[in-house]
Amino acid sequence: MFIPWFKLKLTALLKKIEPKARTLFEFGLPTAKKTLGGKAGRRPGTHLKSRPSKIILVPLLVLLLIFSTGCWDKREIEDLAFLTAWGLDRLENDEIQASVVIVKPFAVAGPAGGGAVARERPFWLAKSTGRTLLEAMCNFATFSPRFIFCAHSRFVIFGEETAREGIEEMLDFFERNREPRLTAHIFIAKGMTAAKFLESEYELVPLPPEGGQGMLQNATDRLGTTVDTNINDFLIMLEEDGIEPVVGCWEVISKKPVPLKGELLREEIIQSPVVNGAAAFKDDRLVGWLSPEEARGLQWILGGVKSTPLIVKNPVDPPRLLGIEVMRATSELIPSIKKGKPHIKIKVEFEGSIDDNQGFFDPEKNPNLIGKIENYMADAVEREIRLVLHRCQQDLNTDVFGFGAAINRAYPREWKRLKKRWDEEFPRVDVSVDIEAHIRLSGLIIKSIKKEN
Amino acid sequence: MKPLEEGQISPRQLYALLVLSHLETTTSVLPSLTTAFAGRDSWLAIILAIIAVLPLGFLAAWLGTRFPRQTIVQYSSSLLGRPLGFLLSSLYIWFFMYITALVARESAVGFNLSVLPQTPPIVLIVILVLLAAITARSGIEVIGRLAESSFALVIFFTLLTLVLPLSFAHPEYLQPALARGVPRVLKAALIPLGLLGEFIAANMAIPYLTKPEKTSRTFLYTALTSGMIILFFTLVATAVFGRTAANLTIPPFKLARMISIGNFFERIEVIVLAVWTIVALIKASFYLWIGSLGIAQLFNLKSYRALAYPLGIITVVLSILAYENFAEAASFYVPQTWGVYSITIELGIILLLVIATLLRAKKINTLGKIPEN
Repeated sequence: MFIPWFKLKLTALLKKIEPKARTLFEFGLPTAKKTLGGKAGRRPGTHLKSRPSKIILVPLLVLLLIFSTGCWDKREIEDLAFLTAWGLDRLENDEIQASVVIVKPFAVAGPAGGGAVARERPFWLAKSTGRTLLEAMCNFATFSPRFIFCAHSRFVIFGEETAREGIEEMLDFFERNREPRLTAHIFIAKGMTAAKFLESEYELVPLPPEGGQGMLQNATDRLGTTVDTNINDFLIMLEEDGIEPVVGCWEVISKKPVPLKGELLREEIIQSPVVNGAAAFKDDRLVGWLSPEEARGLQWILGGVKSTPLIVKNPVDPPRLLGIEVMRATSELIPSIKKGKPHIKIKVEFEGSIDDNQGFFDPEKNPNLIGKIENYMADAVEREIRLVLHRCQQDLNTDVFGFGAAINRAYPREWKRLKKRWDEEFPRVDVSVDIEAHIRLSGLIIKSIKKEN
Repeated sequence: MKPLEEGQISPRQLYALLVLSHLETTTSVLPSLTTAFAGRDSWLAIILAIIAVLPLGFLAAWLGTRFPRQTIVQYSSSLLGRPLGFLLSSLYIWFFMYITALVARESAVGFNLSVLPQTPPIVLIVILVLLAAITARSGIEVIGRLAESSFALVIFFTLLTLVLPLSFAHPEYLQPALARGVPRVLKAALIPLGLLGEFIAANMAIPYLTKPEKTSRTFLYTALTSGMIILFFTLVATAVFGRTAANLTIPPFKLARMISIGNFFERIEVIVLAVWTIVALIKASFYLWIGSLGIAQLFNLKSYRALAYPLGIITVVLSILAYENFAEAASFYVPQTWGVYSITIELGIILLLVIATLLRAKKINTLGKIPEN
């Protein structure tokens, strides 16, 4: 019988290594079990006595090392460009323009050794267009040497024109794609495109997203004249019945560079952003602006005021003013239905301490004084609430307060009836405001230094 | 003849095994499955499911303690006779093998959606099933210890991803209750009920328990723990995502992505993937073990270990054939399909066996053997 030479060799080889291979591959199989009946003295797991041979195990472990690093989806940090803020605009040819702020890590670190070296701008402002947001993002590949990585994005900014046309179709990307986070903040650039907005720089902070983060935190923590909405909040307000989205509104002020004497290093900042009120939406379209006062009115209603200065008249020294720092504000919406008509009671309660006084002030001699100031505070807050109510109910007709949602929670049956004609019903909703203001502290002094005149 | 399985597990190991098996589905798709039907009322649906699964648990535990030395495959053929018992056991084995395939596919899809978009799903499936087959070959003892030793870590990570996003929660989204009607809630309850009912898998492991008398207590604790985790997941997902929760493909991952504490402690969603890996491995190896041991007992084989790899290959093929795309998966994971299917099998098998036991109570002793004389 004819056997080819290679087959011969192979069978010979196999015969040669067979006993060895057997010992090599016989692992994991249990050896014969001896003590089955005696449960008491039995140590569990003893039937797995044989161990894999080390000759097999070591190469296997090395192989494991190679494969555990991942082949398909590895991304080296050196190959990534970290996107930190998006500016989204719809162009005239209906394409979407994505302007992105990308951090330059080498410029953030600064030159080694320090010193007054001309420093590079620590971010790169890049623009790309496409018919959808995904296409625009992928088109960055035509000119970016690094992969644009969106998981670290902090801000999504829309231009005013774009926001008026509707932004939902761009938000789907943020919800669907695995990289961007829903915790990114949204705001609208008033009177300009988002691309133009992103050209602005911040004082004190070289990186725009950090500057934006700081400003937003300052504005919500100290002032309360804007709103801080993230993508998740926006989507929920869009999806829920009886509540419309509201986001922050930012503007840009131009600065003429003034040469400052006596400083070694002076970067010229031509334009920088300011936080300015809020933008009210109806569905996914921008319908109007809320001034800082109105935005604070909205925050009183939503219970979002963390701390804010409230300026009222000094009751004993009338033209002069009294500054009160408000803290711990809470609010509650209490809906009721009377004869088929919805009614909302807004209950606001807050505390403040006197932080600033221009005139004479002596609470010890005048026990009614605190009560008077508290009434003034309540009046001031009610004025702001009425302002924003009028603006949203009469001018804009958009339920940014969530009155509809509050009615839905308390009276789901009636809401089914009201839902269909909420647009006509909302401007006619009767709102009563109940405010409780408290003054607890007067700062580090009690009386003013000024004499009674 | 030597018994097929010589390992032993403690009730605590069984508990860990069952809870982690439930957790696999909970941390992947379950929260959006219930919210898709019941919306913000899904927590009610889950409470209903927990209550409804308790009788099933007690029946299954009663069966197990009635035949403490036999698996469900063995006593079903001695109770119902060879042909009918064979059919019932095959159904039982098929049910868990199919779930294994779905688990493999689910975890591959989860990895593809979250961090490994370019990795072919077949690679992920094969790695998981290979590991599971190796573990299943090693016997119930190894699987039980694997579950027990990873239990605390997995639960800790799971709770971490649940507690930390609470800063974004709006509890008011849970109201109004029952606005969309009771039928929707009842319908949505079928899915968590089907999942919780999977603990009839333990009827294969009861004879290897060190203390079989603790079975019913173990079942009760399992149902309560798993139910609480599902409930908590659904509540948090609803409170954080509002109505958009029903639209998510993998809510736990999305929840973990929301975590942001002081702009510093964030981007920790990878721990969800770690949890997936561990619990998918445990669930797949447990169910593969059920499959191999069940088939070996069904055909009176000498060893079940040889079956683990072939069954693994079948699992890989099944998992690829399970569904073509996300739309098919979405139409499959609905109460009227998956819910009804799983509950019918779980409840059907247990009820049939319980009735048979009661009818033939005098003829059979606790060993499941009909006396000769």
